[in-house]
Amino acid sequence: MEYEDRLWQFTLDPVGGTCRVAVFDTERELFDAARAGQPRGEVFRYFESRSPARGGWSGSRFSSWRYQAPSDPAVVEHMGRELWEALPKSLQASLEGGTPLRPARIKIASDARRLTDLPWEWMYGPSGWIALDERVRIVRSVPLRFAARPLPLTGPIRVLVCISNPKDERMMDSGREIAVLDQALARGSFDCTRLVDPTLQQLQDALRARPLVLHYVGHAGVNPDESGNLILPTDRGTTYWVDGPALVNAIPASVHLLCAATCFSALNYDVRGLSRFAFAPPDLALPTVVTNQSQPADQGGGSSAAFWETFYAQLAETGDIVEATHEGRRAAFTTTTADWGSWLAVLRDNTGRLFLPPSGLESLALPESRDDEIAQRLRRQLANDFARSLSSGSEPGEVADMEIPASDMKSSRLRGWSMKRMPTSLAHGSRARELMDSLVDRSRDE
Amino acid sequence: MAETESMREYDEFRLVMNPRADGRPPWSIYVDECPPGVPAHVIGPAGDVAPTVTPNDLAMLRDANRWPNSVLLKEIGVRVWGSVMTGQVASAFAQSRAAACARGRSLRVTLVAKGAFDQPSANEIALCELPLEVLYEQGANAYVAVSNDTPVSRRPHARPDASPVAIHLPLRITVAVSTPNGFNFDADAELDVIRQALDPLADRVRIDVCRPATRPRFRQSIESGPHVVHFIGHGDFSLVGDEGTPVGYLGFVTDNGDLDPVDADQFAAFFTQSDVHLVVLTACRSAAAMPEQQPYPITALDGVAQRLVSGIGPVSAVVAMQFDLEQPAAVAFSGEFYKNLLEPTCSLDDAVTLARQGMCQALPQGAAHRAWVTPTLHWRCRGSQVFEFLPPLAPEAQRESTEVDRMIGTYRSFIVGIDDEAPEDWPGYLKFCQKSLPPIEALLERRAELARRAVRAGWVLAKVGTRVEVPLRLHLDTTAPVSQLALTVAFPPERLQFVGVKGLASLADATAEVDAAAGLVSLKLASPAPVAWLVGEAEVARLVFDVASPDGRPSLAEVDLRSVLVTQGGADSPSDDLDGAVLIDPLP
Repeated sequence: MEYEDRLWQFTLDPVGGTCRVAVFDTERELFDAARAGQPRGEVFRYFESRSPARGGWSGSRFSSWRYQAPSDPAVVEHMGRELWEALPKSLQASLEGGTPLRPARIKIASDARRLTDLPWEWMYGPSGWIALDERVRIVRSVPLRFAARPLPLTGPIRVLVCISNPKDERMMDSGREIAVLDQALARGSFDCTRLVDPTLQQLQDALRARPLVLHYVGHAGVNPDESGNLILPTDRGTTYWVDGPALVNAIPASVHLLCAATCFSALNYDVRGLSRFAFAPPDLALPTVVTNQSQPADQGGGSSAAFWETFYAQLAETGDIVEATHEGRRAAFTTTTADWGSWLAVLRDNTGRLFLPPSGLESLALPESRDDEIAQRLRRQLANDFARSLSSGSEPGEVADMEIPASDMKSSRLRGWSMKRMPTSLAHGSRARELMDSLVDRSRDE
Repeated sequence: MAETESMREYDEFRLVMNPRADGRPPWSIYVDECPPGVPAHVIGPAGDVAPTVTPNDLAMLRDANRWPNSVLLKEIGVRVWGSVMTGQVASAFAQSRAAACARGRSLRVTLVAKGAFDQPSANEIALCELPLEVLYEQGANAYVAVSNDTPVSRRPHARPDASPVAIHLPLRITVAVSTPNGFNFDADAELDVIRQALDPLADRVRIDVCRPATRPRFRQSIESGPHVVHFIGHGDFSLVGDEGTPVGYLGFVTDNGDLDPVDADQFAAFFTQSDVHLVVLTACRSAAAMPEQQPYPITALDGVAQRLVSGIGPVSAVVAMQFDLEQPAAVAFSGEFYKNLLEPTCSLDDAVTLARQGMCQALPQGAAHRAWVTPTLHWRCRGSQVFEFLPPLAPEAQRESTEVDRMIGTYRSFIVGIDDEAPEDWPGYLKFCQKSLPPIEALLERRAELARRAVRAGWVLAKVGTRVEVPLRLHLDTTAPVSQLALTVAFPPERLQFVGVKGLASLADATAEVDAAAGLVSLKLASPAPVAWLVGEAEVARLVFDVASPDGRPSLAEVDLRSVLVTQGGADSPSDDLDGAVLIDPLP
């Protein structure tokens, strides 16, 4: 599926005490604008109308929704209308232009929790639920300056399922949770390994098999700095809170998708922890995350089963996480609760593609070895590190274009992340220019 | 790169504490890091604890009218000890302190406290509310956090991830002063004491005052490029406007002087595109993680300090207050803190510890008042410092060197992360990192050129069990004769064992005073007779190390140059120093 991409970047404007939103076509535009310090975008008035009389919702309304998704779609529809009506007209217009064959893909990005916490998936426009419209895809994004490349995939999709049920009073029904996933993964080409109640060490050991997908089911928690945690048991019967940095340390580079699902058979202790985990700072090399932003109201698991079955079927077919999430929501919608909007995809690789189908592989320069694969990933990671470090500060440097053509990939180990990423002041400084030219020449000789 | 002559060296004793899945006690404790020399089995799960600190203890600490009361403070301190230092943890702490002492180092005590819960009950406290700073060791009859040997601080994650930021002096500090209508306190006293403390350092520090701290004025101040922001004013964790949930906030002022609460998210948004890496908040409850006990509908977890160091923005360290801070205490704290902040021998947590001591001495109630417990340090820095201070440069050179420093910092952070990777990926990572060494060297060479006079150490790869030579290079832009080079080199002694130094070129007489346990070498490279030095860069010596990897993992062992003096033309001149590193490859 090809998309018409639109990136909605929401920022808090501390001076006005309000929020602003700007629309970009690409992540590169976003970073360029940030470096230039402009634009701050249009005012998003949602939080200015907090009084119930004026339609917004206060913390208490928000919290009751957050802990348990409303089972009444009318309540959700009301929230969705408020969100839609708070959008500037230009954003509403940016949804136009999509077609069923080339939908508008809206990537919603922000580093403010009050904005990422909003249930964008339930936006309700003049023609109904935006996220269920066949001409629109709604996803979240932690934008990167340089996009990850889809993986070539041969053989089955390796999935590691981790069911975590720490011994507490809110015990989930692991059997039912497992059954839902077993059914979801029974179709399509999946090579599935299941871990029940693993410790962090056991999870790390299992990850050595280099799965492509890690699927967590369990509780979540939130830290005082607003970051989220997955919760694993320990071998002493207590809990271990796994935050973003801890999981990044544990997972190998092979994991390109993390599904962090809440249990449906027990009320999550703090379901916000899942989406906040997914929105960990961009310098953490977490993969794209599909997760829940609210507790499904359907404790029988019907909506969860519908979502994950369709999600994995679509994923196996296309490798497209965005499409799989979209189809999963549509399937969950048929269960008639409002749960369908609980699932969100947080793209942390810009593309949302787990792998390319066979027809797309021809255009790729495939890594020849494991070391090449690692080098490709590290180059990208380093490039994004540079983009972030050089675009911050009061005297930002210019970052030259550094997209590395696929055909250059193998030979540009050094070239790719040296000269092309130099700040302009370096790139045009004669001494620095000489220096980097010499490095490029050396790399060519290798 | 640091300018220090004999900065205190630290080992770290890091505890990670987890509550139950619902955020409540009991807490499970993990010893996450100990000094080298402590048996490996000490690291790991260290038991569960039901906290003996009570909500009543917290209520008393929050209540300004309870103090001074030395008995009560000590009792709470003992209960904090009992809530953390279970048998295994206490043993690990004792072993860690002994190991650090044997290495001639202090022991940094850090806590990573996970989670919280809503609807606090009458008999439980949340882990994030634990006032670790009042930890009292009965055996030693002392508060842990007031000793320079055991500074206490907090980290957001188990793995510190912020490298020191190189900045060119002067250090730019913005002090925002906010006295909203109805909050009458004498901010001038604190502002004055900050100025007095920094006055002797006038050539190294520039203070800008933002007053009154309205939002537009504050943004303007941030856009002028400060490195440190200090907020003097009101803070709280309570209901704001029609929000149903209490939030942590700082009290800015509106144009007409009324209170304008700025919550954690909004305050952090000021710094998104800034150079601010250290924030100091002498505002009440600016480090409170939760509101005081009261019914509220949703977990309120937006502590200002915690949010600032969450990693989304550039701030890597925050000094803030977990309880109310009375004005005399704020004055005592700020005066002592800034007096020491730029001392070459002082790390950031050292400065906070000295400020605690200063509060005990300056306030009439002394150590019996809970004021000295109130400051907390939240940071994610890998070492002891937020900043590395570099001499001033010409404006054009400064602009370019800032960018070069950022690039070097990015490379360094990137490579440091190698020890997190899975063993099967090490070959690929090492190969990639090795490829990054030449561009780092080239950047450092350019950086030395911009500094005009600099000594830099090389970046080299070495296998475990081999001997490695790290080159020292001197860059000069004038031809005055050089007769001596003196500097201190710090290195991780568990990974690099100093073997000797080889003097090269005309500075062939090399002498070294070694403190192997502390990982410090004082070097002098001299020439019998001064010789004219060619403009440019030349290798002057090689530091020789044996390479080890106690944990068998790849790592980056930093070779930290300090206090470089070049005797040029008969006069000693301080010089820029650029650190080197050994990328350690443990593979056969």
